[in-house]
Amino acid sequence: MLFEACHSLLQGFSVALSLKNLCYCFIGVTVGNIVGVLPGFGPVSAVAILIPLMYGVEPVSAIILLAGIYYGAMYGGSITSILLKIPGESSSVMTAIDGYELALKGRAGPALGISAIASFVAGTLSVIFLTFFAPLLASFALSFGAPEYFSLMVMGFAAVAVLSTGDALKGGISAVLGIILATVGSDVITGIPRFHFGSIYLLDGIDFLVVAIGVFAIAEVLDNVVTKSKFGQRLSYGKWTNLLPSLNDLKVSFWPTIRATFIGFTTGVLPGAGATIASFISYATEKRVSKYPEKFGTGVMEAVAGPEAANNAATGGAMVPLLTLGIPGSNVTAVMLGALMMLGLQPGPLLFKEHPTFVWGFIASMYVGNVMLLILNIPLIGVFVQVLRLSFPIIAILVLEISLVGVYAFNNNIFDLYIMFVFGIIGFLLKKLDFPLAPMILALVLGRMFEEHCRRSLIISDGSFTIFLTRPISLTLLVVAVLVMFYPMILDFIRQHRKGKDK
Amino acid sequence: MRRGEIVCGILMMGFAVFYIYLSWEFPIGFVKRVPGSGMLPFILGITLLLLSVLYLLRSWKKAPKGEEFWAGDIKSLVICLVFYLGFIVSIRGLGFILSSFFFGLMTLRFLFKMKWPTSIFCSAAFTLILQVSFYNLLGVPLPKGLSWKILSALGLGYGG
Repeated sequence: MLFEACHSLLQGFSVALSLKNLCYCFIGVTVGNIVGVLPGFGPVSAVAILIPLMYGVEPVSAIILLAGIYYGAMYGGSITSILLKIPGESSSVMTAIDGYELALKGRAGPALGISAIASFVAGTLSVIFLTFFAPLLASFALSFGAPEYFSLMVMGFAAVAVLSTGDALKGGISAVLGIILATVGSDVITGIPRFHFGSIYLLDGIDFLVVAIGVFAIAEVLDNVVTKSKFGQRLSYGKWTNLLPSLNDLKVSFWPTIRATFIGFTTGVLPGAGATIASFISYATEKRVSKYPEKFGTGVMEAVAGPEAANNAATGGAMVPLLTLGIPGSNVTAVMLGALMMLGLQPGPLLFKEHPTFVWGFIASMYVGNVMLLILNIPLIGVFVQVLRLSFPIIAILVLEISLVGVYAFNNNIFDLYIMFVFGIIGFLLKKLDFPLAPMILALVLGRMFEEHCRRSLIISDGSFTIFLTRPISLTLLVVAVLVMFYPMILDFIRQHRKGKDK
Repeated sequence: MRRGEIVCGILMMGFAVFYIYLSWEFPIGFVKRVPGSGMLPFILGITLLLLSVLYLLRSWKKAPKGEEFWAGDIKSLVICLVFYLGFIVSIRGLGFILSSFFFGLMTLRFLFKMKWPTSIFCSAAFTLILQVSFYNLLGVPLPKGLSWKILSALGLGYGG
């Protein structure tokens, strides 16, 4: 089987390395990189816009271009997250936390470098996993039903709520507020409109991007305006070599990248979970295993490497159910599924047998695309970092205007701008009171799925909550969630016990 | 921070009660054993209420009596918020170009105290860059409003 996969992959490279497909790959990753940088203009929109242009293009070339946009956007999303604390994508939210703090310390260059390297390593490893483990993992993903997804999300919320600041109460409130925001709009099961206060704009719910830009970018500017503490601090980087990651940065990022690759790939395989939850779990895991968890949130390189590696590994994972089962694992792969069908291909178990040139050419192109992204991003670090040499007033205006245009571009809706404005103020107040904001965003992103899986499970069990405890995978995930929730207390208990012994 | 945390706790409790009240409008489904559209909101409302009470109690007992979170340059904060809200409110009528230019100009001049020529140059440059990037290159239909009419009257309107 291994030999067969290697042989097929070599044939795939002969397709991917043709001049025409190299050009498509380059265009895809470059567009993806730009799209990832711009808030409000995500890979879904870019892929959807480009689909009509794919008529008449060879299927393998078309999918190489569309996939390039997908994983290119994951690279690009980290750039504004680190430099301006504006997450271009939901999967870049965790990168923004420590990445931006590193930028404030004058270490934006190394953070961008680590982000690009971790993305490259994880992206490449995930394609290797995709090559060899695709059928195996796809069958495991099939065993996940609604109760398992519900429990997986409970675990994700618990991990982020507890581990993002170490204050479980504030983290819990933040996560609950996020799910409450997700209940605005049509009910996921019955379609009944809820909490819309008569506004047609709220019927579709509140988009995560609008809230994320409000609570991260706008709140950050407001905070700087009030405190004036960070005015003019971001000037000196010294030599150009200071812009590149040091050996120590590479060393501390090695294991987080490897761990995050596994987390990202397996999470990416699960339909619906995707890159966002992967980056959140990775951040929580790194904080859990770190020798200095209290430093997370203040600018730690591992907290950039982990989430960035996880969200890139998830793109490889998301291709597993798409190619082997025809089930899209994320919004982008759902649009790509539509594109494949438009091109006359039916993704599923037979795709590998009936169209091997297509499948393996596409997989090989992902190796090539990751190399292209690394080559594109590392030399551009110096250019990106120049943004931080601008004075605070210029950065403030840039952030406020880009945020406004980005949010408007998302739905072409002025109402979203008012929501962003309100959440800017809410984010500022919560930030001042030391509430972690990441749990709120994760909960908002996953809230509707959380409710859907919860209610589907209860419908299956005729209203009995024991369904979450009688299924082994679901039970295991819930046990982990409980352990994570009580982790600070357990840790305190062990410390006090040790202190007592020492005395 | 103690007073700030207590105020926040009370506000969250109030919000939780209001949310529970709103969730009663929808079928909860505990009786019929089929979860209704009000089930999760009701559970979330109760959870938020409990967490807010815990937060309030903890703040009451343990929060340090240090500097309150509203300490700082509140005047600048209010100016910044008023200008930004003005930008959002005027974007439909004035169009992106004019509202963006005026927002940049007012903020740079009156909030950040930059010189008039620098403020004018920077706000014009940002407006131009954003207009070209989003409207011309990405095809985002930014509001045209009065800006477009003026540009068209001057013979500078482009791209429909």
